[in-house]
Amino acid sequence: MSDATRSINCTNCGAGLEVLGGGRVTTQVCGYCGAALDANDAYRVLEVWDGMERPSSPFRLGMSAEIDGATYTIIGTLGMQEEYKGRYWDWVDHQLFSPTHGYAWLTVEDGFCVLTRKLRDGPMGEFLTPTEVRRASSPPRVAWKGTSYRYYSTTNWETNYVEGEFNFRPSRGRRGTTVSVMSDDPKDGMLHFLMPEGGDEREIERSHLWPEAPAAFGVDRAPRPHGQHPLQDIRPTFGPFMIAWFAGLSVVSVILAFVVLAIQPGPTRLYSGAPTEIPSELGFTVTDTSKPASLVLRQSLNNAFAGYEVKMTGPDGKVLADTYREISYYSGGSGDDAWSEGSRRQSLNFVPEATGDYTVAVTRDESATHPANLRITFEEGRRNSFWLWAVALLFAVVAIAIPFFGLSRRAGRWKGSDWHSED
Amino acid sequence: MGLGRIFIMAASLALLFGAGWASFASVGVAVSRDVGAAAVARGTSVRRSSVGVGNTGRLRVK
Repeated sequence: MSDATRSINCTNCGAGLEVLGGGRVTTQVCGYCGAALDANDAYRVLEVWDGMERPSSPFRLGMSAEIDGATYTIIGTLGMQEEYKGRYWDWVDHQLFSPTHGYAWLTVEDGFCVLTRKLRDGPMGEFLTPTEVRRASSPPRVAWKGTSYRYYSTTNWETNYVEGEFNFRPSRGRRGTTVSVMSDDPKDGMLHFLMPEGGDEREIERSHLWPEAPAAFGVDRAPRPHGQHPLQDIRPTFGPFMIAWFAGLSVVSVILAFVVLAIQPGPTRLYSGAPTEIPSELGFTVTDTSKPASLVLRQSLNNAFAGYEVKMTGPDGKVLADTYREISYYSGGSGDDAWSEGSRRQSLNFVPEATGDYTVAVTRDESATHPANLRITFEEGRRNSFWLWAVALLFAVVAIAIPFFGLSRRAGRWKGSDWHSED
Repeated sequence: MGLGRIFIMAASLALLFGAGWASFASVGVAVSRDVGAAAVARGTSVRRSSVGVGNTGRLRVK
């Protein structure tokens, strides 16, 4: 026989059928009448499956493509389905044949193309069966070539469409189970432990995503993938660069916050001592009218209160404050029950309208006195480092959160797994 | 580099500049309502139950 493509006529309906599949083909199914023909017995009719509906796939028998330097031709098409609790999943398996590299599978599901090859050196000693999966208390793992593969899913499949040539005996209604395992690295692909029903041929296969398949086979309208495939390498949107960016911004914010604190002038002490000995008039000098200033009264009292009349006069003799401040601080309890109320600090906050010498008269309220030490200070040029601390914290949180978002995106590969912990 | 990433970087830089400006410009430093010639003219005198309070924001008492 020559290497050139040859054809036969279906022994059931007479339709012309191309013979593409090489010497290991055992069955050819006519796409016109659904007759299964025995390729090893003069294409004798084995069975006829009427009314099969061809599944949707952009790939057709006879299409060829190069994979890793070898030319593969699509020789067969299987329509596959899984049903679970009233839900159906459909996909199409195309058997591929290469005269030099043998047989493989091209699977089309949800618009994704997957290339699957039989593993001759697979972990047959660790063949994972559905029974073992059911008995396992944690997701079963399989080690192969130094890589750990974790259980992903069990598929109870059924063939509902057959066309073309196959190196085994397919049939409509053929059932089987496939246990799939996957590593954390998409490059390792997925291992499948295949067990057809009623047969003893167990196979181990390995799948990789093959997004270039439509172009390689010259498909006019490539299927549009939808959803996320477990073999997709989902890279985090924000990687190390953005982590460094936000960490850097956080550091810059902290430095700027310290700069704000550093350039803030320290408080000027106007008085410190017993409230009974406050001079009738205290003075301070304002040099900065662009920033808020503050006159602060601090008294180290506890479970008590004290009141003070405060009268502040500007450099032009105009009264700028004639007011009252009450310092009140109460506390109690201990440990988790500890509480406090009020503050030992009160202030007059203002934006000075003019530079110059100001005076302030602080007079204790006779009806609300306390002997604890009183300290009166003046601060000007007050800035607010709060905003820089706030963004420093925000940037730090984002920098820390990014890796977690990245992990969650990659962990999304496992969201289709049918393993559910019962605890 | 995606547009989204550039936008986020620009927005974060803008946030840093905004926070820096707000900190140096004293945004949010409390100013007491009872300080200033106008407050005194109004007779504002805060006693006992409402001492030490101030508006937020950089308000110049007039």
